[in-house]
Amino acid sequence: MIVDANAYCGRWPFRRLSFADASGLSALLPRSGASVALVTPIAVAFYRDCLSAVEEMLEDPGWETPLMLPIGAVNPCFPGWQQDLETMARDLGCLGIRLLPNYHGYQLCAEEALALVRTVHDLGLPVVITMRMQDERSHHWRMPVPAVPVDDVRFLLRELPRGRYVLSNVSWYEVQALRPELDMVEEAAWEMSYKPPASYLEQAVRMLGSERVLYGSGAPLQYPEAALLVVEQARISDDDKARILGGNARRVFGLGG
Amino acid sequence: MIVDAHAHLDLGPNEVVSDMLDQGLVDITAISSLIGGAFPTLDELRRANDHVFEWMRRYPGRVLGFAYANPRLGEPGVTELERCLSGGMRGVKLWISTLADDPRVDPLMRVAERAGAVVLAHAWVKTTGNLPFESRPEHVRNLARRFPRVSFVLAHFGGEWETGAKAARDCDNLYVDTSGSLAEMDMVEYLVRQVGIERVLFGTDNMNLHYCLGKIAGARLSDADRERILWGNAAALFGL
Repeated sequence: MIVDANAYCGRWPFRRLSFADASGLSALLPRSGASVALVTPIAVAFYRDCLSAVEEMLEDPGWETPLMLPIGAVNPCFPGWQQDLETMARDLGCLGIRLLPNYHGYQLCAEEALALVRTVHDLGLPVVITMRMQDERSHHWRMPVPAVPVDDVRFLLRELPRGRYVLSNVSWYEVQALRPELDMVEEAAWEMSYKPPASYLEQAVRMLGSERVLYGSGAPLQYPEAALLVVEQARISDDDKARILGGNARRVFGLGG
Repeated sequence: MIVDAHAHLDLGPNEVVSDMLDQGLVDITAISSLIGGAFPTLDELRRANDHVFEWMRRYPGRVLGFAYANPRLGEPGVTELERCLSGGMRGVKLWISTLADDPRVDPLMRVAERAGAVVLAHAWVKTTGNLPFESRPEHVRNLARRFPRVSFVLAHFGGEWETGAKAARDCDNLYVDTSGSLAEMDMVEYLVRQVGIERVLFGTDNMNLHYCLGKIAGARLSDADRERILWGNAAALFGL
């Protein structure tokens, strides 16, 4: 059973995008065979009020539970974030909380960020660190958003090692740079949808262990087939593939089954 | 059948390319070596191109050799290109030594035209800023218009793919390859709509082969069109 640990819903403001709404995602997910997708509204990167973005996604008439399960997002510099986080976790069923420091204008080493991460962990949810939303080379001319600095992630993982983390939209080079910290924390997983280079999945499994790799598609921003074929065709065992394609996500996001 | 129209030696581990060939994952690969980096000396060019000759011998009939060229080298660089093409190479690789439409490129293009060689040209449009002599797709298009009897390949969609596709749209001798690290939804369909299916070639640029194949598998195209991208167009272009 395939779990897509990195799917999105909504329009990307900078270009025309197919499959952008919930019904589009519903049509897209069977192409990768995903029976569950952990879905973040794209609007959380752009709205001030992330809660409203999550609510909007869940009100989309095409939203399908249990095929789609929501991932929330919180900006710790936005007033009332604690209450919004509670709402996302307890009322809206969000299974993880995404941090987008460079879209929301804070650093992971800031006190506000540490307070948010502590609270998410207290709620028993994984923190999804979003290194980027797209390749830095391809941003809008007037609205470039740099990637989250690896050193900021390093600081956070060292400062708060107890809890679950997912590194999302992260390059393998960044994962390698963070290797000591990934070994330090209670649970940290690499979601591998962002440009997995040649042969590196095998290398990742050797280095991290397959239990720390999550299949994510990046759909609909990316073709879901791209990351899926990387996993399916990797020279790793069937057990490793099963963990990457679903087993690990079930554990990290508490899906059971 | 798969033809990889864009791969390199000496740009990271060469096993990325040899694995694809040894395991039969690709049937034919267009290969250039990038020894010497952005501004190779004549000696470095010769070593780069000799490395490609070595691979042509190692994989007979499966490697389309592309000669690396540095337009700054003048006549000696032209002579080096003549050596490569007369030795059986099928193409020329332009990277970032000069902009693609720099007049110093022209003598090399005249050699390519005489030999019937294909020219693979790098281009990107980076919000983060292009390198000093890194072409945008428009530079490659300008060159292609100057040499209408030469077939050009715009590398990796031209970088930012909407820009690349529009730049290539009205230039019939400019093909576009689908290599590179982006697998963004709609990019292949958009390219096909803009330039026509017959000018789209599959490539990896040493990225994960299956990731690159995923773009083609994911694009909403007919099976016949997928086959044209994966090998048919390359077979026609290179007379395979």
